[in-house]
Amino acid sequence: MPRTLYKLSNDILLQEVANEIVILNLADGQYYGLNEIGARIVQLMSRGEDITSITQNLLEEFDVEQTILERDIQDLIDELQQHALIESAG
Amino acid sequence: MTRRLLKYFVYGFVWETDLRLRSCLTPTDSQTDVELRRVHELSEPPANCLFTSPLVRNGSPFLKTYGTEQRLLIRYPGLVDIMVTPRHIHASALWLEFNDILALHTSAVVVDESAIMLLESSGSGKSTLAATFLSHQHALLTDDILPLTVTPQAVWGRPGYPQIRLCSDVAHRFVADAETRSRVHPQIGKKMIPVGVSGFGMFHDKPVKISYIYVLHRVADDKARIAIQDLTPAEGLRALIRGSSAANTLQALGLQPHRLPRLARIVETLPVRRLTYPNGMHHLDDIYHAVVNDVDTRHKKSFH
Repeated sequence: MPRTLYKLSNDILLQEVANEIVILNLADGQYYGLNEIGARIVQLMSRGEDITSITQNLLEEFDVEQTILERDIQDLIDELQQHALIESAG
Repeated sequence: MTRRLLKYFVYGFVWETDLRLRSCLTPTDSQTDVELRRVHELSEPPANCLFTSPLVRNGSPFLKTYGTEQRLLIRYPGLVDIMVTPRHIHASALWLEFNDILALHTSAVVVDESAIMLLESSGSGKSTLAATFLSHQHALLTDDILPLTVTPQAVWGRPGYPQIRLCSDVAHRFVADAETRSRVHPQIGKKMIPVGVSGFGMFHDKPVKISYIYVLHRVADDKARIAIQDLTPAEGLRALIRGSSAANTLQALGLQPHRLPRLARIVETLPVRRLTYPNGMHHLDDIYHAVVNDVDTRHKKSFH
């Protein structure tokens, strides 16, 4: 099964604050907030973890059903891609 | 012919300038920290363009920078050039940022020996609310740019200009001779109201600790309740990014990576609260009392 990898755009800054993350897109000045789970997904993504690995990590760290988690991860990926904050890396 | 230079004390520094600043800044003889000059004819920029902003305005880059070892030229195409050397700059907020002092676009007033920030973009009523605090014997720290220094123990705010800018109808509420006051700009209806000695209210002219940040949220509904709620640090950080003075320029100059951790430190140090309030000057005193009660309640909690 191929690894689904994403990487953060070169134009963004991540700032962690109290278990959350604020993303600032330097290309257009827009900024976004991620909650604790969203922040963890982006953290793992920035370390080069693929989606399977990210899912496994989050299942161990949070009390959440796998199907719900997988849907939430996909929703977040769609949104991050829509705003050009991440791009596919293979 | 050159114009005589004057020195003024503002933002905690001595500025030497040939500009005739239309405010009640106090002239000083202290040693100059920074020079501010008007230049009518600029030489061609150095050939080496260091940076072209990806931000675009009217089809052109928002700004370009040119540089040598001796100087940095920030060009806003078609608008203005800003020259930066180690001791010169033509824009005060940028000079502060180049010197590791965060410059936020906010009003701040002193309550119980520390200052509270009234933060939001233009048009949210922060100057009107600040004027209400002045009318209740609180001192103004700034009504435009608030220079902030973050230390491990506290966040310190420096005083801005001893003036407040109010729309004509608001100015009439607080100042008897508002008619005679100068406009901020010929095309802007706001009046410049001097604050402090022989002006309106009191001015706090020394750095002071910041205690709370209130993010203003004015709603059109006249019957809306006044409410004060905690913001998460992430929400607070976004408010500070939004409230940065010259935010696009800071971003285009690549200063944001250095600023963001310090802005985060501020929201980890200080409580950030959203103040929701209805539109209308008849609500101002109630809003004032709500904020003062909130500060008082939090002070009491911190002592127990």
